[in-house]
Amino acid sequence: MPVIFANPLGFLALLGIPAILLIHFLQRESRRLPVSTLFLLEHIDRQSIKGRKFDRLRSSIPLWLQLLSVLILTWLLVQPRWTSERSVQRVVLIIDSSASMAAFKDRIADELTAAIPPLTSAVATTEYRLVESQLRGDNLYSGTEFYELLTALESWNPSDSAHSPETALRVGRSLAGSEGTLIFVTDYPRETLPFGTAQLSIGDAIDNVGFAGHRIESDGAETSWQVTVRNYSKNPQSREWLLAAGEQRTAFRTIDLGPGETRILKGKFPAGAKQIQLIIKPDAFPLDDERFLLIPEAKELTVSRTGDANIEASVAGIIESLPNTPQSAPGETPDLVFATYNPLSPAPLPPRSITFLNQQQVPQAYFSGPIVRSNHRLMKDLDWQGLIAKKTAALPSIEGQTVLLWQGERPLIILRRSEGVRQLIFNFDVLNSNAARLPSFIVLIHRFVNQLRTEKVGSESANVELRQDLKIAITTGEDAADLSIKTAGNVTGISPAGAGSLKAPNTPGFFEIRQGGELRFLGAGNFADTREADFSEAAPYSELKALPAMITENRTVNDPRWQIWLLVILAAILTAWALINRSDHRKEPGLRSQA
Amino acid sequence: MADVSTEFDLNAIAARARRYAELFTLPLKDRNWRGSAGEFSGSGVGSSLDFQDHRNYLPGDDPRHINWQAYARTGNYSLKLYREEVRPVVEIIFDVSDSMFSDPDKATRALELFYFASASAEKSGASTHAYLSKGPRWKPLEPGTIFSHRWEQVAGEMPQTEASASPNLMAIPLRARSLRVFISDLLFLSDPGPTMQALLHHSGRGMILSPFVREESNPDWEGNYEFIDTESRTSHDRRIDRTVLRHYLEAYRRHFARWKAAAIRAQSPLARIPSETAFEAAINLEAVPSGALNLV
Repeated sequence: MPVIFANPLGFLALLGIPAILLIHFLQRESRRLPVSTLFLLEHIDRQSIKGRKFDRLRSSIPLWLQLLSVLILTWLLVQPRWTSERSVQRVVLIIDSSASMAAFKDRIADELTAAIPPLTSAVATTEYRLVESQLRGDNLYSGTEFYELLTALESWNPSDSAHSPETALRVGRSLAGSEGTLIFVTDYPRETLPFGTAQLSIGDAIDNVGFAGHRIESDGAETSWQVTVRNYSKNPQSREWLLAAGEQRTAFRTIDLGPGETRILKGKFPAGAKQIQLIIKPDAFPLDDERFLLIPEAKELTVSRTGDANIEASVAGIIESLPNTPQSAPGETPDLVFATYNPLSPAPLPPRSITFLNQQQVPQAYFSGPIVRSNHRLMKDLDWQGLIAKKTAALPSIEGQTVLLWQGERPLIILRRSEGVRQLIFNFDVLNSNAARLPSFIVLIHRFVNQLRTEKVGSESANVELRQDLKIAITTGEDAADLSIKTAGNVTGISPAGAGSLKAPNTPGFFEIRQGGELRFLGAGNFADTREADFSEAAPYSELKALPAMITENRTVNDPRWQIWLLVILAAILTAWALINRSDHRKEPGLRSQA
Repeated sequence: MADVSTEFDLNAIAARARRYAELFTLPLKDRNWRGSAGEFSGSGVGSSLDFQDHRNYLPGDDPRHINWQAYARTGNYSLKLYREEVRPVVEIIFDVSDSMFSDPDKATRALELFYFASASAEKSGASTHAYLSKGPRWKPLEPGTIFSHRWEQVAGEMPQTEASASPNLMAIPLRARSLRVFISDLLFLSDPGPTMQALLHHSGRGMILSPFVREESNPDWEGNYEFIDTESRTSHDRRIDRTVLRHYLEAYRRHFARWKAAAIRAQSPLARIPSETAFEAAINLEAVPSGALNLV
């Protein structure tokens, strides 16, 4: 069985050997000895007069006993432990994948190189698992080679938002097993972590300044931008920034920020430019040092109106509030039809429509009874309690429709969804109600229109956050082309089946998503989680120092004869002491009587 | 000299010495002595039952000693002479130099020998005289001071001597034809001749009982020592290695070889008495074979 030494510093005890030899080499201090035969010595060798500093090393029992004691003491102090050649240890590293770790990415390899190998010295084989702390984080490495783990880290880019690592740590504990080692690598110390988790915080309170947010406004003719710049540190900071549009760049300008101060920069998009880039000279945390902005453009949704003239004014106002909704051309199938329905002269509803009941002959009675909203996402947080509508005839109910709003027994708003059918029906006389004055009314319409817009296959552009979920409608079917995501650095291909899990890139920059050459999405991804940009709590901290001893203790067995060795030491020391003492007493007779 | 009375139980030593006197005796029977009437054969004519010689009667002789049977045969007055019975004179010279007390074993053995010689002489009815010798100085002991241990006070009053100072036995008024028992470790530098001569002075008979310890005869010194001379108290730094130790042992052997040779020449037994062994064994080792002491 391989032997390891739990306390290599114990080898320092071997210094006792040269010390003992030196003591034995050194001339012993003169012993006082009364003699009566001094006259015999007077006439012999004059060498007997004291002179030499070094004595000849004499082989004596006390010397060998002392050397034996030092050797056994060294053996005990180095704490030899035996391990099995077949022993396997699991080390699971949950690495904080939040974006703030990007500031310390260069330190991770060094910190792990210093901290991990000592954990593995007691066992023959170590199985490593390196997993991101995000619940759906990647398994970065699984294997037995530590240098491969470091290699896997080189291509890792933390960009997640702030999140709790608890779930990942619990998964990590199950991977490590009850006797495995679970380490959480992060950038700031946590007060509470699941039991058995050892923290390794590699962060530092760096001074970070970066973009914290943006806003794009357009008045039709011009588009203006507005970004906030924040100093997260406790010290005044000065930074230089510029604006770039295509190949053109402004000169650097200086912005001074007090501790914790936030400033707003604003300007207009250059003429003809749809994309701009704001750059702050990079600091230790580069993710928020660039802000990519483009003029957002919603997917085009063509509309038409088949309603009556008395409702046209209201419909026009609604359409005007909807972005990028041009009138469909003659002969073109519109994406959305604003229709009316007269229950007294029923007619089929367009498959994609928003339909308003228009009975024209309005009764005097109002609906009565409680207004109840269904638990549908279109209706979330909408308040309809102020709705007052007149009691008109109802649209015939069909199977499969969803009633979004009831008053008493009367369904007031109905949603019909089926293959090719998307119908939002206001089953009351909108014109003769106060619906137009209720915010919920226009919000519901916008939500419905947005659903239609999302489902439509087309192109759009938007400013998004890093790793933001992207809902992009694409052409499906057997002949559907693959998607390609193009960023500044590379192009990634995705099958149409993977379109449901599309995410914005994890590094800031412009990107575009195409399907078979057709642009589906043009985006500008920006870092947006300001919690991750604040490093005021980041600090180095390690709970790994106690782990090697614990692992060694758990994975190895100590010398079962240590008590015997201890007794041997005691016996050797006492015997050497007794021998030296006896020798001294024998050589100094009469001293007591002389005294 | 060390404070013997506090260091050693003199009563116990004296008691042991009396027991030893039951086992061993001084060599008083193997020659004629001079002295007052006693139990041992004198060198002159006495009134014992042992016939010695005849001679013609001379005026003034005691008529009771006339051999009337011879007169009847020869008609001449003759006298029958008988051997004289005397009390021999034993003179004990005890070397009380500090070297005799440098080692507890040696001191004990020296005291045992001193008390033994006194007890043995006393037991044999000899006229005992004791002297303390310390270097060139000496002091007689009054009768009764030995077993009352007052001799120790006398010894304590004797002045310090130089290192390895030789005794001056010639200065002691030893009685003629006495047995001189010299108890000494003989660790002094002078030639043995004068000492042996003093022991034989005035037709005396000498013997030497010399206690010693292994620390003197076969020491295991090695390293540095600050030797303190037991008599002069002077300090001497010495470094002893094997060569020096070998030379010392050789010098020690030669020293006592000279004494042995001188003793043989003087026909005075010299017995070296080891101190580490039991008294009986130590005496049997050399004292009895050499005739210094006899078995009872």
